[in-house]
Amino acid sequence: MDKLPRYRVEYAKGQPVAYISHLDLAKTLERAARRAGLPLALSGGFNPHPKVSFGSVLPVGITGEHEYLDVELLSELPPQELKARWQEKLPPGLELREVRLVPTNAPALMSVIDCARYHVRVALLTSNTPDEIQTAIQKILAQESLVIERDSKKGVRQVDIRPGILALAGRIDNGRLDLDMLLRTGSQGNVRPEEVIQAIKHYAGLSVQTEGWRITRTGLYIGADKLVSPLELTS
Amino acid sequence: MGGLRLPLRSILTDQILSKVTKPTRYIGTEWNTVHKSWEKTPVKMAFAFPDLYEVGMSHLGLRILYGLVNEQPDFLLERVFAPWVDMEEELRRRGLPLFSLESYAPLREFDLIGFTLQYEMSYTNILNMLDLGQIPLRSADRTNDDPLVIAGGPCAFNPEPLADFIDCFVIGEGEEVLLEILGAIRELKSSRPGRPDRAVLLRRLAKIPGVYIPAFYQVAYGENGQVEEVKAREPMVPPRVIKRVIADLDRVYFPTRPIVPFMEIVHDRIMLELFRGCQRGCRFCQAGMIYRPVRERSPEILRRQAEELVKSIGYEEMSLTSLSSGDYCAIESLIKQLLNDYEKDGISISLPSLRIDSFSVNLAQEVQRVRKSGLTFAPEAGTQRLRDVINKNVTEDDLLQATNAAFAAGWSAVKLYFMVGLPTEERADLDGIADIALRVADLGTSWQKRGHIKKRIQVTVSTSCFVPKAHTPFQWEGQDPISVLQEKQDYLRQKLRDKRITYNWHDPSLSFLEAVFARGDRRLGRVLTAAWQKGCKFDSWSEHFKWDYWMAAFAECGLDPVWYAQRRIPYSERLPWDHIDSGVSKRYLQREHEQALAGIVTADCRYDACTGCGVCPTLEVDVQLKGGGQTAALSR
Ligand code: SF4
Repeated sequence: MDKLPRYRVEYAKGQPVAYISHLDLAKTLERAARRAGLPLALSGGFNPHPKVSFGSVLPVGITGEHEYLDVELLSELPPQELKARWQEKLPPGLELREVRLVPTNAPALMSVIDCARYHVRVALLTSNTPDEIQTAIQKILAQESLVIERDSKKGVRQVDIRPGILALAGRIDNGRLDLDMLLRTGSQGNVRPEEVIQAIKHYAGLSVQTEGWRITRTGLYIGADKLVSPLELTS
Repeated sequence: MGGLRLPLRSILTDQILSKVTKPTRYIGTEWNTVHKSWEKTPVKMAFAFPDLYEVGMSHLGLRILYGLVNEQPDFLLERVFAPWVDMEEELRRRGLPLFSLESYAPLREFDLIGFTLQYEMSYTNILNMLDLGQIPLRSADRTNDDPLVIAGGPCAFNPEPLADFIDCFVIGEGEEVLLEILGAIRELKSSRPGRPDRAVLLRRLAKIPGVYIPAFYQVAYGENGQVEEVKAREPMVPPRVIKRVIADLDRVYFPTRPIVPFMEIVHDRIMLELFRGCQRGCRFCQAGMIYRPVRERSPEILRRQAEELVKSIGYEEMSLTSLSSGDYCAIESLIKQLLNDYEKDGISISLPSLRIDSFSVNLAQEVQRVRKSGLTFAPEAGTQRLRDVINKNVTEDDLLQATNAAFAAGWSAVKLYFMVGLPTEERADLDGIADIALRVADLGTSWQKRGHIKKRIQVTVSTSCFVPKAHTPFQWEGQDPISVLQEKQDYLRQKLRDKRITYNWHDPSLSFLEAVFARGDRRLGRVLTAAWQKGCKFDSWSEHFKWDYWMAAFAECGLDPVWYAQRRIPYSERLPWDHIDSGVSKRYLQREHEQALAGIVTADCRYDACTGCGVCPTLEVDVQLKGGGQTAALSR
C-alpha cells in the first residue's frame, strides 16, 4: 500500500482556549476536521481515531504562538485548501498559520523537537532599576547549577535546571518583568518557564507576584544551536 | 448595569481560571455557541442548570432550548452552571457574582433565569446559585429590579418544595411554552423602561396554559399535617394547571447545531431523539407517566437531522435516545441506514437504553457493527411475581435470551439494573436478583469457553432504592426505612460474591431525602433554606453530602422527614401536587396501584388497546407511531 499523504501544521493556541487540556485540544482539532469534511486517515481497531500526532504538549494556561502537529489524510489536498477548510471550523483562539506537505518518512515531531522559546510577563513586587534586572539575569546565567523543586508523581524532587537554560534575557516594563527564555524540552530534559522564575526568585532575590503570570510559548525548534523550526525542516 | 461584564472576563482569564480545577467549564467559547448582542437584544434569559457543566451539557433539554430561543431575533439565552466549590470560593472571596458563559454577564442582569429540575437532590444548588447571582432567594423578597425566576423539567410536576423560591413553573414540554413567556416579557418591557412590574408580569403569565405561579395559591394543612386544601387566591388562575404537550414531534423545533464542549462531558455524543414518552407503564416510573403519550419522529426526519448533526458537530459517536429506544417502530431499519451512512466516517452508533424484550438477536448482531461499549438491561426486580407488581413486562427468559445473544455477538460486559425496596418485596425477590446475575455470568462463561469472548466476563449489578414519586401508581406507597434498605443491600452483597460480578448500590440516605422532596409540600422550603445555610450543596455528590446538616435542618423546622418519605398515604387524602395535572387521571393511577397489589399486569397501549390513562382525551393528543408497522413483532 502506498503511504498516505502527511501534512505538517503550524498553529497558535491563544486565549481563552489556552485553558483546555492537551487531550481536549486534540479532540477539538479532530472534531473540527470532521466538520470540515477532511478525508482523515483513521487508525484500525474498534474505536478508530484520526492519525494526528503532536509536537510538544503545551501546559494548560500557557498560550502558544508556533505549535505543530502532523496529520495524515486519505487523499492529497492542496495545503492551502486544507488550511482554509479546517480553520473555518475551529473555535476562537485556535489559528492555523501554515500547512505543508511533508515527506511520509519524515521523523516524528515529538522525537525531533528539543527546545522551546517562551515569553513571560510577571509583576514585580519591588521597584527595581533596569540595571538591577540585568545584574540579576547575569547572576542566574553565571551559576553552575540552579536547583529548584519540582512536583512529580513521586513527590517533590530537587532538580538542577541550569543545563536546560539555553538563553535568558529580560527587561523591566511598567513594574513588570518581561523575560525571554530558550529552554530545553523533550526527552533530553525539560525545563518549564515557571521553574526559571522560581530560580530567579531564589538565586537572584527578585521578588515577584505569585499569580497573574502571562506565559507564551513563542517557538519550538530543532537543534539549540541552529534553531530550525519543524516547518523549515520540511523544505 | 452592564459595566461588570468586560472586567469579569479579564479577571477570570487573568487571575482565576489558572487556579481552579477544570477551567474549561468556564470558558464559554465552545463551537456552536451563540454570542448575541447584549445591548440590542430586548429579552435576555439565562438557562441555569443546577449541577456541574459536564452534567448539564449532556442534557438534551438545554440543547433544544438554547437553539430555539437563540433563533429568535428578540431573545437571547445564555448558559450558567453550578460552579464547582473552588470556583465558588474564588468568586465569593472577590465579591464577584455568578455569571453566564457567553457574555460573562452577572446573573442578575438577565430578565429571566430558568432552572431545569432534573432531580430533587439539586435543589440546594438552586439556592446557592441564586445567592451567588446576588438574587434574593425568596420569590416574596424580589423587587422589580430582580430577574424573574422560573423552573421546569420533570420535578416541576411536584413544584411545592420549591414554591418559596421560584416565581413561576412550567408544567410540561418547555419548547411549547417558553417563547410565550419570553414574548410576554418583551411586550411588557416595550411599554415601559427597565424591567416590567413584577405583579403585572405574574398576572400576565398566569394566563399562559401550563404556567403555575405558586404565589397565587394558598395551602391549608389539616390536623395531621396533611395538605387539606390548595386554593387559588386570584380569580384568574386555574384551579388545576394542565401540562403542555407537543402534538407532533416532526413539526417541533430540533437543534441541529448544538454546542460542542471542549472537555469530556457525561454524554459526549450526538443525540438523536427518536420519540418522547413511554407507555410501557412501569408503576414506579415518573417519566413513563408525565411524558405520555408516545410520539415518534419519522425516520426520514431523523436521518435528515443525523446528517445535519454530523456536519455541524464532528462527534465520533451517535446515540439514539429516548426512554426506551429499542421500542422505536423502525429501530432495526433505522440502525442499518445510519450505519450505512456513517460507518465509513468512523462514527459509531449506540443505543443507551435497551428494553430486554425489544432486544432481538438480530438487533444485537446489527449493533455489533457498532461501538462495543457495555450493554445495559433493567429487569428492575428479581422475580416474575415482583416484576408483575411493578408492571415490568419482561420474563427471565427474555433477559437470558438477550444477554445470551449479546455474549454470542462478542460482548463481555453486561450491566443489570435492579431496585430494592419495591412495594411487596420479599426475601425471595432479593434471592432472585442474585440468581439472575449468576445465571447471566454463567452464560458469559460458557461463551468464553467456546472462544467467543477473549476478555474477562463482567456483570455489573446496580441496585437503586425505590422512591415513591408523584404522579405514579406508587405515589401512595411508603419507602422502606433506611436501615431496612441497608440490610437488603448487605444481604445482596453477601450473595453476589463472585469474581465476575461487581455490585454497586445507592446510598439509602440519599434516596430517603429524594423521597421526602419527591412527595413534599410547601413547608419544605424552610428545610431547604436551613440546609443550604448550613452548607449543603452538590448533595448528589457523595463527597459533599452532609446527612447531619440535613437532619438538623428538619429538626429546626419542626418537620419530620420520615413522615414524608415512609408514610403510606390513603387514597382519600389530598396530595400536595393534586393541582398539577399531567393528563393521566388519578383514577387510573389508583386502579394501577390496586392492580399492582393484586399482581395483575397492564398491557402497553403502543401495541395493544388504549388502557384508559386519560392523557390522550384530556390533552387532545394521540399516540403517534411513525416508524412503520413492521416492528410490533419485534417485542413479542
Ligand atoms: S389515553 Fe390510552 S392511548 Fe393514550 S396514552 Fe393513555 S393509555 Fe395510551
